[in-house]
Amino acid sequence: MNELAQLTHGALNCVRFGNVKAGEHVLILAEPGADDAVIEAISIAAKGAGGVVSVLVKEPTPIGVPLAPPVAAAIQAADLVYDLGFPTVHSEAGFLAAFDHGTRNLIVRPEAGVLASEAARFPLEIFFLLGKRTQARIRKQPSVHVVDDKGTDFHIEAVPGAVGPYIGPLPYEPGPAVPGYIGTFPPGTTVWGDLNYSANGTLVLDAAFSFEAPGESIVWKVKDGWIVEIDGGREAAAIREAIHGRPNANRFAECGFGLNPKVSLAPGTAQSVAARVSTVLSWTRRAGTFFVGMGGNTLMGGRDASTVVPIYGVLKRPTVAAGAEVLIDAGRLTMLDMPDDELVSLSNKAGGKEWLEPMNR
Amino acid sequence: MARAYEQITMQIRAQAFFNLLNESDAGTHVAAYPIDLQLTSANEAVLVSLRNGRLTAVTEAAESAPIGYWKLELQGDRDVFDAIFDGAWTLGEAMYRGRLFAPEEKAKHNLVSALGQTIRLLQKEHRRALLPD
Repeated sequence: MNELAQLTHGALNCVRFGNVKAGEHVLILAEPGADDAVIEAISIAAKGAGGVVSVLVKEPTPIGVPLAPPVAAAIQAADLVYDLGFPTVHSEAGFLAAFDHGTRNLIVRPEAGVLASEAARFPLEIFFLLGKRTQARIRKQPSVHVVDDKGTDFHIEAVPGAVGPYIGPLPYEPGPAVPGYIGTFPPGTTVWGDLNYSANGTLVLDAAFSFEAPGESIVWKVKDGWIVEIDGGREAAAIREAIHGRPNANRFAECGFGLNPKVSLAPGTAQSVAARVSTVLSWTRRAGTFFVGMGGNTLMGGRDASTVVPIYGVLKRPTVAAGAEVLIDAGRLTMLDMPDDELVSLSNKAGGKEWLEPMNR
Repeated sequence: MARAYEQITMQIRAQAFFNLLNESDAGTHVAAYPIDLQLTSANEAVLVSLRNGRLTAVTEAAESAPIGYWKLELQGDRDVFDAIFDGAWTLGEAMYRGRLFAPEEKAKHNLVSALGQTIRLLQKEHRRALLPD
């Protein structure tokens, strides 16, 4: 089978996830070195759905630097952006595209191997059901406690209305992409902001920012919604440098957990910093992980604006409890370990119960 | 920033701004959502009811009214709302700057985005209304 054929199923799922409709303008936003096969596979799938496809190759935009005006104009004019580079959605132009122009924006892992993987073929109906259930759990039991065997001990009180994302046509419910939709592909997560400054504790991160395997664990100390210490080796120093002197860059912006059991935790193969950032970001989509984001929180509906896009960190084997209910047990999403009839039925329709089983790490 | 509108209530300003929904197609993006939009500033709270992309009522909001399924609250200083009514800021610009706050943004992003598009189109309609014949 040639490479493009191997990407077809994932690309079709990607286009379906974006809810591409006939006549819509689809923008594939790439950076130098992007995999041509990924661009071509998504283009073909989008055109097959009736979309009008444009491809724009831009230079990576450094943290805190506005997007170039032609890029900003393009993402605001598009109905849907597949963003293969450093995420634009957290920039001002990306924010305005979603909130004022209704642009749907999906951050896509740029490597062909990911688009060919089971993670990219993961049935969207199962993802939406997992999202609906986990969001409801957090809203009902908003006191969340996270621990792991490396020393993480973290607590946050979620505000029910600040729990999302991937909201479809109905409030509070993940569903098919509607105007303004923001997400990643492969999907996805349940996420919430810290609107009430309740985040406190210690987070011992397995990976953060562009550092897939830091020489020393990166440790964030969180106090009343702010990251007040970042400890560790040279990687921690690089993160401190990235946020130095930038207002609200140390705000505890968001946290959540992955829902897709097929996302691999293998290191990325792309070499650019942007691609390494997207690798760590994609790990946050893995069912059983817990993630945190530091930076401005206006995308979460908060008041603390920052030019720093969120710097993400991930815990690979956490235990996460909402109230007394354990949602993640040592890196395993419990509702996948004990699927009920509805989940089993959905997975059988999609080809088998294997969809609920985590792939090897 | 916006001119001083202390003598004009936010209810009157909201009524004047959203009224153009009934004379244009600017409400297309909210047509699917029966939104009760609450605009809350330090001293005023206004409820703007949108149905089928049209404005049906602008009333004073009850202080203790619960957050309903289709209710969307935006909180900000009065001058932020005036900047939006004046066309100086879009909803996105005010939110990006942390000046406009939607407590349920993440769970109702669909409604926030639909409203943002509607406000942008309404601002365009208001600018057009000022053009000479």
